[in-house]
Amino acid sequence: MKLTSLLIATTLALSAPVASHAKDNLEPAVIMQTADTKVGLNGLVCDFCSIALNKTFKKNEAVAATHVDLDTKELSIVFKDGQSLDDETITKLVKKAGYSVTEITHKADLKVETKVE
Amino acid sequence: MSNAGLKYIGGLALCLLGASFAEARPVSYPDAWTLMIKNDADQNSLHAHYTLDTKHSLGLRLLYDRDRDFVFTGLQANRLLKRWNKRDSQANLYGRVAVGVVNDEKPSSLAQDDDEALMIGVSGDWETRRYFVSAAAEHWDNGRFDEYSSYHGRLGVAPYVANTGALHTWIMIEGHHRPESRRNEDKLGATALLRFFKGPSLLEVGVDDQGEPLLNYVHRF
Repeated sequence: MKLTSLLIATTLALSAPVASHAKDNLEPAVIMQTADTKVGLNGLVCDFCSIALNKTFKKNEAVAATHVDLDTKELSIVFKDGQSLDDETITKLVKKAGYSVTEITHKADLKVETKVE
Repeated sequence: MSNAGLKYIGGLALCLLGASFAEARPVSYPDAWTLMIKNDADQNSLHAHYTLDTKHSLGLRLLYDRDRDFVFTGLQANRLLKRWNKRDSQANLYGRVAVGVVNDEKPSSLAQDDDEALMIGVSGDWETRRYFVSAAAEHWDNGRFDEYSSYHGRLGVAPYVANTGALHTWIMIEGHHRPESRRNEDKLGATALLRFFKGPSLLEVGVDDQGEPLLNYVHRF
C-alpha cells in the first residue's frame, strides 16, 4: 500500500511540471483549434511576418503558444493556465512586431472588438 | 532619340519597378538579428544587422566592389520611414546610411591609401502574397575611390500562394542602372532569378544578361 502511494505521489509530482508546459509545443493545427484569442491582422504577406509575430508574442510571460496563418490572416494565441492579455496589450504587441490589428476575438467571452487603423 | 537615351529611359523605368535585394526589408522586429548576403556580377556584400526597435536597425556592412576593386567596411543604420499595412498587402519605405573605410584591393604597387566612405540610400517595396514590386537607389562617396550611384528595380510573381511554413517560390526580374560603371555592359542590365523562401531563410539564385550568376541569402534569427 505504501509502495503504491509512493508511486502515485511520484507520478503526480513528475507529471505536474510536464502538464504546465504541455502547451509550449503544440502543433499549429492544435493552436488554431484551441486558441484562447484570435487576432485578425493587416500586412501579413510572408513567413517573415509570421516569425516576427510569433517571436514577439512568445516573449510575453502570459503566452504559451502562437501560430500565424497567412491564409486566414489570423494570429492564434494560447495562454498559460490562468493567464491572458487584454486587447490593448495585444494591439501594442502586434504594432511592435510591425503590423496592425483588424479584430480581436476572445474564446472566453466571445467578445469581438473591432479596431480601426 | 539616341540609343543611349532610350537605354537611359529604360534603365530608369526598370529602376522604378524593383529593388536591390540586400536593401530589401532592412528592419526586422525588435531584438532580431538578420544576415543578408548578396553576390552578383557587381559586388559581394554582407550586411548583418540587429533591429533595435520597430523602426531602426544597425549593423555591419562589408562590400567588395568588383568594378573598382575595393573593399568597404563600415556600420550601416537603417530606418523604416513608413509602412502601410493593408488587408492583402504591405508597403514599406526605408532610408539608410553607412559610414566606413575603403581599402584598395589592387596589388600594393598600384594600391591607393585607405579612405573614408559614406553611403546614403532609399528603397521602397510593395507586395502581396502573389506580386512583388520594389525600387532602390544608393549613392556612394568613396573619397579617392570614386563617387557613384546605383539604382535597382524588381518585379516578382509567385506561381502559387503558400501558407505559413511551406516553401514559397517567386519568379523575379531585377533591373539595374549604374551610370558611372566603368564597364559599359554593366551600366544597364537585368537579372532573372528565382526566390525560395521557407521559415527564417530566403535564397535567391539567378543569372544576368551577361551570363553572370547571382546568389543571395537572407536569414533571420
